Amino acid sequence: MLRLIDRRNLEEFPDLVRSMHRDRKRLFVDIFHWDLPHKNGEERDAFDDDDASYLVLSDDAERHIASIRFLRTDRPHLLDTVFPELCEAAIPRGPAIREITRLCLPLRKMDRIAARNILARGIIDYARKAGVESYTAVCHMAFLSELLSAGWRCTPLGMPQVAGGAPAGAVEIHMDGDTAGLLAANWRCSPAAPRLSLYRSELAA
Amino acid sequence: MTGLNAVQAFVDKARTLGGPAELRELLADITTEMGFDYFALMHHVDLSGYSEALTHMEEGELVALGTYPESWIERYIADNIVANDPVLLASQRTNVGFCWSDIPTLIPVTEAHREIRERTVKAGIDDGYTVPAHVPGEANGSCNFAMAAGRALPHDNLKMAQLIGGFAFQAARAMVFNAFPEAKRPIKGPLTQRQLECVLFAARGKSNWEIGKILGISEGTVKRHIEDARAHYEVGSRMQVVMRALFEGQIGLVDALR
Repeated sequence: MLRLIDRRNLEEFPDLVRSMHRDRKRLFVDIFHWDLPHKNGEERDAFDDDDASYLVLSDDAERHIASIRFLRTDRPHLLDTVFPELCEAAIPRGPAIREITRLCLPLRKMDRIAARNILARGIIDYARKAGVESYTAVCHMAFLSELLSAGWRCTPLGMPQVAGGAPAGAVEIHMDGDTAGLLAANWRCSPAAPRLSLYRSELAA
Repeated sequence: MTGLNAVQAFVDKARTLGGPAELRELLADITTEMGFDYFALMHHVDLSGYSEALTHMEEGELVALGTYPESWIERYIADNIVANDPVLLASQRTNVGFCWSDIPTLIPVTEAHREIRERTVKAGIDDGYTVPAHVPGEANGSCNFAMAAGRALPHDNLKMAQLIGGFAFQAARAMVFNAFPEAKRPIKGPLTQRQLECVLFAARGKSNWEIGKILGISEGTVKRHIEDARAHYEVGSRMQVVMRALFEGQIGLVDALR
């Protein structure tokens, strides 16, 4: 399943949400050695609040496989609070702009690409459903080529700087009308891949 | 124009180019603007398909374009320097931009590497800055910015070069892949997981019998996997299979040497 999880349905999936925070701790703290707060084996920060929403990919047992977090840009978010130096001009903000943070993917290469592609399609679907025109994100330079290889329209927001030990830069990913069509072949999902479910989220009909 | 505005203008223009010659021109301009003398944007593969007219890019074969002196490009291809160029080997060991003076921190520099370096300098290319461009499942690539002999790197613009390199490679890559989506490419695509495991152990010098013992399969099965990989790449020997898998980033040098 690929679910949109927000303040409205978060409590319906307590095990799934906990397994996401556990995987985030394992990936970001144990493997990437990012300096992040964690407790009881779960990584969680001040931005994991009522206004955060998540795309969460889960297996048949409703365990977390991969996820990202969306933050509103009309409220405090990473780019304006933690990494303002990455944006040279005004930080893009507004109701039609979300910030993507905490991209958490499986480590095995095959699983990683499949999960990445499902999330990418979810990001595009979410944009259409929620009226998002663009996403901002802090991108490690090591990941830039991969991010651009998707084919979607990206623009840099500032020069890369060393952030948390590695060079990173702020980028904006534009959700133009044809974004799904721009997606490169190796970023597309297999026909059987799950589509975004809005079940009981704020966007549910 | 500030650095960021120049990068943004480059990114916008790079999405609307008519062909590889226009990309070469656009990148040549910003290369000069940043204070570098030359650039080379390339896939780290056999470059024998390269033509000065850049038809290899229009035919969906590989990314290779630049402003290095033409005589050096010819020698570079004829002598297949791409296979052992220390700059490219170093760029396979990192994901972020590096100055060529840092190469010894990335790879063990051999006598052959020093010789290539000397020839490069003799050809008029001295110092440089390389931006790796690794896309999973594809051949490794890079955007290289270089200085004429005796000229120092524009250190203030390396961050800008990092961004330009990344966006430029994507522009070139999209051009090649969109040329003929189904075109016959030198990139043959992935081997199967089992073939890959066999090739990896072959790269570490193991015999078919040894590989069979390690993987718990018969010697005959190992032989068949390597044979299939050989057919897949359309090459003649076990050694060439290993080289192709390395070239296409299917196995890493680190894995092979472990």
